[in-house]
Amino acid sequence: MSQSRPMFIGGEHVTATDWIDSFDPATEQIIGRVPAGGPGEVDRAVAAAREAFDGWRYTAANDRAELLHEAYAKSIAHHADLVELLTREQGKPRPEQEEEAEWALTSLRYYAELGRNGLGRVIPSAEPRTQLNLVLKEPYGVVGAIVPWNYPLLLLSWKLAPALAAGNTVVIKPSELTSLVTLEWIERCFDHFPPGVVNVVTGYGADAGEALVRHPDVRVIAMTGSVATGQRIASVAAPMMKHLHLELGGKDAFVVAPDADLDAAVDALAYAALLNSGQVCTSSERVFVPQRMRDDFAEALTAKVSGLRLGHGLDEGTDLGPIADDRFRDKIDAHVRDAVDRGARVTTGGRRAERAGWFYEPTVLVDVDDDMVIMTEETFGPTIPIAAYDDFGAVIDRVNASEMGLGATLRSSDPLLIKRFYEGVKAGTVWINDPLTDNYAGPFGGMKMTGGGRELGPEGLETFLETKHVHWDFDQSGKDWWLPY
Amino acid sequence: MAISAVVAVGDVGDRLVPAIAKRMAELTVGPGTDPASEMGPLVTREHRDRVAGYVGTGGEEGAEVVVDGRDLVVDGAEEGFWLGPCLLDRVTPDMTVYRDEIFGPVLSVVRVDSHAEAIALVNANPYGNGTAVFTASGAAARRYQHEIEVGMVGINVPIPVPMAYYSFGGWKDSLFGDTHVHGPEGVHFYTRGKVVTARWPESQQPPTSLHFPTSE
Repeated sequence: MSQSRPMFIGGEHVTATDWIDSFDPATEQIIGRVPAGGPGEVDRAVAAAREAFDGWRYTAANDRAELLHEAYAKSIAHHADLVELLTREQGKPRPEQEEEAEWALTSLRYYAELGRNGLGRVIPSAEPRTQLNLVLKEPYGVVGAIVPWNYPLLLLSWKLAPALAAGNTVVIKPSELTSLVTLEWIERCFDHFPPGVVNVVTGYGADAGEALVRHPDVRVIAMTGSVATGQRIASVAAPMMKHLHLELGGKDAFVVAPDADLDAAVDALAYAALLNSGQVCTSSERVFVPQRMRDDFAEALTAKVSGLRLGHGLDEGTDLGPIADDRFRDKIDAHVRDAVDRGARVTTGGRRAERAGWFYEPTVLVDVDDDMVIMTEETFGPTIPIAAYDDFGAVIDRVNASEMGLGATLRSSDPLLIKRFYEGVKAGTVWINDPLTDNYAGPFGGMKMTGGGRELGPEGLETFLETKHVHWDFDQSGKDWWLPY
Repeated sequence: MAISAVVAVGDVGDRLVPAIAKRMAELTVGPGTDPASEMGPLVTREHRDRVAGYVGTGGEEGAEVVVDGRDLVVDGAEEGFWLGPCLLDRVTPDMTVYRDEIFGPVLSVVRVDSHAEAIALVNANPYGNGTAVFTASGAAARRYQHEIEVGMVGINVPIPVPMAYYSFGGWKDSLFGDTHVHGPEGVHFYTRGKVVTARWPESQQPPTSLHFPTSE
């Protein structure tokens, strides 16, 4: 079922000279291809978005909300096809894909409503009889959305829905690994928007992505991806003072408190570390367990993890899908090798799976030190390194030793420890007992090297609005403080 | 809205009254089921008679009946409770038509000399639901919105019903209660606040002081 899909620019289908193949990571088979767009296609898309901006900006917020609701309704009608393509192209098991699609869709509704309830303010005037002072919230113009492959629809919707609700027009640059499903969604479910309001340019980051960031008419770049890409974007955008919204992954800690129930903590961790085969920005990638619980914990976790089933995402009973690309699998394996070379012990997994597809066996490691690569760099794979601790106060310092600051999880029922944890940890989201759960109204983003942007919640709308203060004096007569003195 | 009265400032009434009369003459009154209808009948025969009565009363009390809709006949629906648009000029605040809520298509024009007089006139009324000012002057509009004692103010907007993120309601005798309806005040009415003050003491010793917590 290989398909060639054109880009979607200004409501039209656009191809390019070269193509990029898209693979099913569970079979290594080509399932389709998309154009390898570059600066020319980006210019065309930005021009379309810029032309559409004036009309879109002055479309009533109520009408913009209705169009977003309509996109939701179309997505629901199209749900089964979207989930199947998402599974083939992205890889994670179907139940997780269904969850992703559902979350992506409902954020359309959340921002539709938030957008139509957006308010500026009237502030006190220095001279209230004749003056009016307004604080307006205005859209920026053209937003460039650069979207990763691990949650291609979800992380797109967190950018697209608020950007549109706020009155911006959008040029999307999806990951070349998940461009088919992005095009499928946008073309099928956003075709009722005025042409140019939503555009998709496919291509490699170095060509299409770079051109989008460089384009002077793109005032906002919203990107989820790696620290290296974020740094590149920031350095290219800095001379143009673009507004950046970057979410650059994490090295999230999972801390088991001394009072925690061991078996429940094991279950929570297996989910938090292995969801989407660990290819989640908020995946638990560092585990801290009290020294006295360490052996029992590792044993229970190993038993749990070794019973999980690898498979194609569309197959019933698959717990873990493949890694998105063979390059990423090499990186995961390199992290494990480094740990083993420096004295860590693998209790299960620790190698590529012997089967077709880019599978990596879910892996548990003990005897890890905080300075091993697997405890410092983002692995983005199904690896669970377990470190031990004696003192809870010191463990918060170890959590904060990472240069990333996206999320952190604590398993505990002790309010004192919980308060110390959420106050002490430098992370954008702190989960107590229930890891990785998002909330539309809860802002999501990171601290430190993860970047400071926030998606979801009112903050996620604010990202795509800029502030203007209007000072209006109805009195035309001169002021006594004007020249000459 | 409690009463429908136009307050004409200065000599604007001389131009306004003929313009309103012209617009009223062009208005198509008929059944609501007819797409061509711009205005329908009144709700009951009794109400129609009551509203029509005010036109006569207004004339007797000294107002000038510029447009009289009492003789309106709608072809094919002669038995309906019809009343065409009516316009009374030179109405004064002591007249019945100014004091009572008519609730029908009867528009009164009150003439005053100044903007200040217009504001005073509106504020003298015990009701304060909605009001509108029509002006090209930002300063005049600003003064009106500051000084007027009315819950909903339209500036060049004739029926100032707010969007849902504000609330609907009047001031003074137009309101019984402490919140407006619709929007956030409507939600406020149906909810009640709960304040939770929590403390997780570091030591297991009971606190020794018995005073209220403050943010010292």
